Amino acid sequence: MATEKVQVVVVGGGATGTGILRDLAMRGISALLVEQGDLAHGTSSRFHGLLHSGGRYAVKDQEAAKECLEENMILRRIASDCVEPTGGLFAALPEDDPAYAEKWVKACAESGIKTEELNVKELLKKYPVLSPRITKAYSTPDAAVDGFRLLWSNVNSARRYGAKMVTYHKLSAVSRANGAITGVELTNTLNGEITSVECQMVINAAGAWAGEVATMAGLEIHMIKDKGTLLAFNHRLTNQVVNRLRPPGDADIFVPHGTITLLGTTSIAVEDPNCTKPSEIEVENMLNIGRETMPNIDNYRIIRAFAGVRPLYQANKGAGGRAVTRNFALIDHEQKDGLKGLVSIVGGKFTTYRLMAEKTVDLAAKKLGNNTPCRTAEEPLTQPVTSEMLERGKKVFGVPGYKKAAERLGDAYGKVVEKAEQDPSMRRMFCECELVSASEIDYVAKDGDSKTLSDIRRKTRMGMGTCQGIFCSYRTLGALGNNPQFTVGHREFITEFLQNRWRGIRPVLWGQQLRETQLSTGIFCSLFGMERMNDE
Amino acid sequence: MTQKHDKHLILDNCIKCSICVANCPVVKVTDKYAGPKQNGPDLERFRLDEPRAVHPSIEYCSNCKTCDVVCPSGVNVSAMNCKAKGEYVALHGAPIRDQVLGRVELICKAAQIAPWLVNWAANVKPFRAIGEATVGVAADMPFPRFASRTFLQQYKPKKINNPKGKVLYYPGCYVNYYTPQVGLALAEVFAHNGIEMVVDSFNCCGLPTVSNGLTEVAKGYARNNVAKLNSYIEKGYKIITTCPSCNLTLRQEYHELFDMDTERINNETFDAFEYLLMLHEAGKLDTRLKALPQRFGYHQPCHLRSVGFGIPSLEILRLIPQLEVHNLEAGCCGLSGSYGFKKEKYPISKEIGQNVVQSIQEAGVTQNITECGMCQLQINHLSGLPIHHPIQLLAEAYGLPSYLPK
Repeated sequence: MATEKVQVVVVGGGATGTGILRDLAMRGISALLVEQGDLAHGTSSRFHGLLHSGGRYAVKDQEAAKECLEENMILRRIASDCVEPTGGLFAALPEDDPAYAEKWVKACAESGIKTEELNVKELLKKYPVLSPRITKAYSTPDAAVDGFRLLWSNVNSARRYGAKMVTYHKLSAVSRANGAITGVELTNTLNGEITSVECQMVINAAGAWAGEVATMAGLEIHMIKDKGTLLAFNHRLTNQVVNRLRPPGDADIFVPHGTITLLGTTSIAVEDPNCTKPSEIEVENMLNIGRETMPNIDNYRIIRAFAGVRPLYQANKGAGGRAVTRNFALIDHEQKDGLKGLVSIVGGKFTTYRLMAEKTVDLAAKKLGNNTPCRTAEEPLTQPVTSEMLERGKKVFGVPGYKKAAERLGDAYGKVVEKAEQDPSMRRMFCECELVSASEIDYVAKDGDSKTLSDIRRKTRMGMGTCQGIFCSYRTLGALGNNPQFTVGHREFITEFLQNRWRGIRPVLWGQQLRETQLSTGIFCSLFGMERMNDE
Repeated sequence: MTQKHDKHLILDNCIKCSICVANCPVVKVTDKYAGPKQNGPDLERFRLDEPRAVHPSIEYCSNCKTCDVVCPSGVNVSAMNCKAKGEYVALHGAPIRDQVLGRVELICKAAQIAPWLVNWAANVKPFRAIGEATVGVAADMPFPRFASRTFLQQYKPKKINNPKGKVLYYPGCYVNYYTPQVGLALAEVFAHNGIEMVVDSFNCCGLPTVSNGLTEVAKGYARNNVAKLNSYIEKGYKIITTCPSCNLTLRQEYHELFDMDTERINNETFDAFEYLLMLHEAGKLDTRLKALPQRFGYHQPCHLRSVGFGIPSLEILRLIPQLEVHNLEAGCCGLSGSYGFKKEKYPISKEIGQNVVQSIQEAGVTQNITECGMCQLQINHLSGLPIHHPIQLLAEAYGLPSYLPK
């Protein structure tokens, strides 16, 4: 049994957990982040990718709106590679209460959110996909944010400050002595190996799984697990985030995200935090609402549906769904339950992950006697890729592959470019839908944290485009033959990858996506003879 | 076919099956081209956000439009590629060579000052060697020869009493400046069948301009041509072409590339043989044809295939007793207009054309026919065999002046 010793163990590789890890490391506190799956496999990548301007919360909760706006501006600064400053708009239809629009404009002004009324006629000309019934529209500083990339940027930055992170490790026990945490036991989910970690503090940032972590420490946290389903359209329907100008509800946000558009979301209470299966009925309901903003929505191709579980927290039980606050709560279990060394950070939203981390680490640092102030709002997550390196990348990957790769890879871009410069065969695009080169896939496959094809996918977007991995999956596996991690078990690798893709395709299996899937079935089940693949 | 569709919906139709890549004649012979799928529908998704997302290899697209023909999902791959090329050229500029080669209309007009001098100079080896070294025009690719007088200069409309139909003939640059005999033979065939044929001066259809990425120039041509064609259509004329590329451009490309409403032009424009076939089906075509006991190989130009009305010339030529026409079915000839004249593309062009040469050899034919002037040039260059427009055979069978070499 391996043993480790750190000051703090952070549980949960989502936005908050990785933010906390970076903050701890920057303050000089030794820390280990534990994630049960791959980084960002949970809620932090299963959302609409919207970096809120605060507009959505302005009427109901001005404090939350202000927080969103402030964090939005900070992230644009410190994580420019992860944020696409698309801008947003709020559009009202005739059936939407005009009084809400008035309240909204006023509330945005009070919260400091800059809005500007748009000429509807010009807006429709720019985006013919929008409903001609739109009566009023305002611009807002919304943006799109890439969850996968932001999380990895946090971890990479934290690692540079000496922090540690392990994926595919589950918290299997929490040791306590004399009313204080003394350590944790981790189980490697891939090989069952157990590691014992000695620590002074555990920070529970497990999101939807926070209740399970608390149970392990013998405590109780009541998390409301709220499933939200999203739809991914094959291309950008608009180049701005489109919100509905009415009280927040289902399917009222369209976010252009790289090559695709996401429509979300739903709100359904679930028992199990692993319940991320989108259902057909949710898809249908969302399209019904989305159709109001974009009347021809049925003509556009949906490549998949996916769902995430919001970890909502309400100290006083009773509320549910959209009525529950999206604010976060920091629980000091020493005060609440008399257990020293355990802190839980629950609730909240992606946009404010950094602030949540800051508040959490402020508390943790105080308890550990560390007075170093938080600097996460000032220091960028990655060094910008130099224009010289970008030019070199352009020569090997072409437009626009070079830019997308630079955004994804950040500090590692140089290595990937160099490899492609030395070996022209590494310039080939393995994933042609999302422009991921052989060089990038090779690099990511060897980074030590990639255990499956899905892990490579989350870091590179390989397999996330139109064909949903039909061609890049076997191409990649073939080329990774010299990589010990991927030498054997090709069938399992492909199965894991495709089942995850198909899981998202099944609820939207019509039109062109149905044809796509038939092609995929033909290739894998007939040509490759994998027809007896295990069902999930 | 309706022209009112959302371009982005077509983008959604691509299921990445890669049939376009498998059939692309350029991809078959070189790895310098990233292929129609990558340059077209793949990158089109990126261009919705970043219009400059064009792969430099786009210059290797020969615009043969095989991708459009083979696509099982109805994606307008070549239009995406053409627009991308235009975007690339707008951003990076085109070499002077491409700017000249693309402006066929200007070259032809300029050459009219002294066509004999141009023809002579075009075949002087040292000049061509200099041309290759300085501006990159392949020295080994022969230029077509300018006619001493253009078609429009030579054509005299004939008065037809009680015509069975009236047509406006759009000869295109190639017939007008290089092979006026094709237009003259057509005039004979039409007059013989009681069809009134008028001509007018038009701009180049713009296809060579588009293929070289000079989109704005082509758009200007398109505007002029569409206005003029519409004025004839209003007066009850059908539009006739003998060049498949002109036909394709007038009927489909203006709409695909410039969003122009050309539905009426599409409905009223016909390839000469398409029109003759309609006459025949209506029982109005004179079928008293004399025997031509000869064998010809027939090459179908890519753009004829792309317009999608079959091969009407083969059906009409079948009416000629004892004439044997063997369909070569060998795919693209490789020249693709100005493409094969470019130094770096000449070897690719030649390599693509080997299929046609092989098919000619297998068929054992010693003379060929094809509708496209540029295909004629390439097949003659690669095989050394004579080649003509099928309308000339028809004129010959009618006993009319066919302008075939005797």
